[in-house]
Amino acid sequence: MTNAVTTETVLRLDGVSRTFPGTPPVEALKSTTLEIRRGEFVGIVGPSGSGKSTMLNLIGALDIPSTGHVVIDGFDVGEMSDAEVSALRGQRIGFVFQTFNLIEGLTALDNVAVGLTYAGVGRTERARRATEALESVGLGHRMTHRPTEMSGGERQRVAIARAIVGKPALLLADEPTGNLDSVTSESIISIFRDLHVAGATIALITHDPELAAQLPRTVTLRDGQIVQDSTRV
Amino acid sequence: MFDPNEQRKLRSHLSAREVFAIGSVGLRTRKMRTTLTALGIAIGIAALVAVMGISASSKQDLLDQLDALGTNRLAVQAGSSFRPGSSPTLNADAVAMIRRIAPVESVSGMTTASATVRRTNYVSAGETGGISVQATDAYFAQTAGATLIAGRFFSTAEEALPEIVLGYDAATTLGIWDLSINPMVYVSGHWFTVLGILDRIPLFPNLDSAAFVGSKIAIDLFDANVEPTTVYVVAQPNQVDAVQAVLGATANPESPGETEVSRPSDAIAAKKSTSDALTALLIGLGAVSLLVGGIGIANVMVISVLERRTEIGVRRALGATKRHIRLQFVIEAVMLSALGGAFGLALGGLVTAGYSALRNISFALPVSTLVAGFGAAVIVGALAGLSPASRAAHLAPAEAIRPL
Repeated sequence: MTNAVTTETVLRLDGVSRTFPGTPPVEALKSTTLEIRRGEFVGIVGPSGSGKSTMLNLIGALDIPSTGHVVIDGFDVGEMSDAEVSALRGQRIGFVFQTFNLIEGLTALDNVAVGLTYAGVGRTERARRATEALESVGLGHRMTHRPTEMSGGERQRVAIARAIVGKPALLLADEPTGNLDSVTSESIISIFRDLHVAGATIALITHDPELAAQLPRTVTLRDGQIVQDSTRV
Repeated sequence: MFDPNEQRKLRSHLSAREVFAIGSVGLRTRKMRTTLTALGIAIGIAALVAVMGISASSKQDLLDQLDALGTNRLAVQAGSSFRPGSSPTLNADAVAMIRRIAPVESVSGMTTASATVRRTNYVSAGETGGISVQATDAYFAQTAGATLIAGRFFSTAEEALPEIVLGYDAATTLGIWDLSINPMVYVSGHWFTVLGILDRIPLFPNLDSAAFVGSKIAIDLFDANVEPTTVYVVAQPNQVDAVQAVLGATANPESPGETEVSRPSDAIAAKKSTSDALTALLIGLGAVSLLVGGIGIANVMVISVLERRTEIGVRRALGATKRHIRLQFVIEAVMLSALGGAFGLALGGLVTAGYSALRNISFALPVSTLVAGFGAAVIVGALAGLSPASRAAHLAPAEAIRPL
């Protein structure tokens, strides 16, 4: 990329809070500041209700902060139209969810290619890139299978392929091993490690302190606030 | 990966082809539901197409019939007279005068004789059976478009002989069908030989209950008027209007206003096109099934949006804008109803073909009907899909993506 200053920081939360209306209003995230740099592998950990999900939504531009600024890959989410934010999500962020969230009626290959469709990538190029992504997660032999014909681990690998196919600036994983057994979890985590080694920037949200402790950097949330931000050397 | 120049221009794209591909996913995933939902629309469209097709076929058949009967036949009648005490008749030489109009192909005059027809002289004089006696010339059958089902019409030479031709209903009333036994009838004191029996005359149904005798013998025996009461005319097909315009004045130059010139084919066409109560009922039925079909689609789309919350969330996360989501569901609804519409067109066409085959009438299914039917289906689908699609588009991505 051309500009070292703007590309160094992939994500910046600047005094971000998120309050949900109600009586009384719930402040799920309190004036939080966080920065994730290119190439980092950050674990965001905390118990249920600590504000992890709220933070994930904000980091993923799925939600708009009540106050403060969310800047993703140089774009301030609060200043963008719905169409622009949609494109930002599609082209700069890769999402991996706990429940895989594959589209039922589509084959593995088509599921991986959905995001490229919205990015305006042509049919043949989509198929080529999706094949490449599926092969990189070891699913070259399952391309024409539908989600219902695959195991949980395979589905999550399809989801990872879908997240990385657009080579996003930030890979956002929300409890990616939450629905998997320990052996499968291990293989999924090792895929993330490999992606990290290959240069990807990853934010992994988990309630599992043990998993978080293995990651180079851990951000701990409690009651809507960052209570710890530790980096291992 | 991204062109640096594109850095500041974040946009999602979706080609028309992709919109249809995405819109069809939901339909292909749930084939049973798609089929059943489309069926509602199919029945509505089929009903509408069948109604319009059957109506068009009937109309086409009527036109074919009229073509066969000839739309170039005219009749001039003495209308009501303004002079008190005089019974309306045409000029005595009306037939000869009309024959001189160049584009007239055939003319025949007719006058009503005050006579009755009975099977034998033993039948009481009061039982006339409603049969009128018409005095006419040898050209009547061809001019009025009448065909014989038995025997023949009298010739010019026979106009003075006691011979009679029976209309279809007159023959039925008298019970005469077999001419091989040379049947005779009793006409006001004289025996007449039955020379022929006419088939029904579609253009002049009131003549079916008449009996026809030669004008000369009618004048001799029944003191019939020399002046005709009605003159039948066949005009050259491309000159009908011109002939129709001058007929009145030619038949009665002294008072043309007292004549009535008619073109019976027009009357038949007008009568047929007004007997449409059943058509209206069927169109109503079609409209109601279309409405119910549309509600069915809306219902299914609402369910679809609820079921596919996560998919909507995922698509939003993968770059779909609100517009893309709205488009996806509207297109899905339109494709659903178009599917039903296409099936309905086929079904309606089949019903129309079956009906025309069964009734042995001409088959007609105008392209405009097919276009209108399909268009109606698409519009119903779009309207039904609009609200659910809008709800889908306005789902907050963060909420849609969470499992409920």
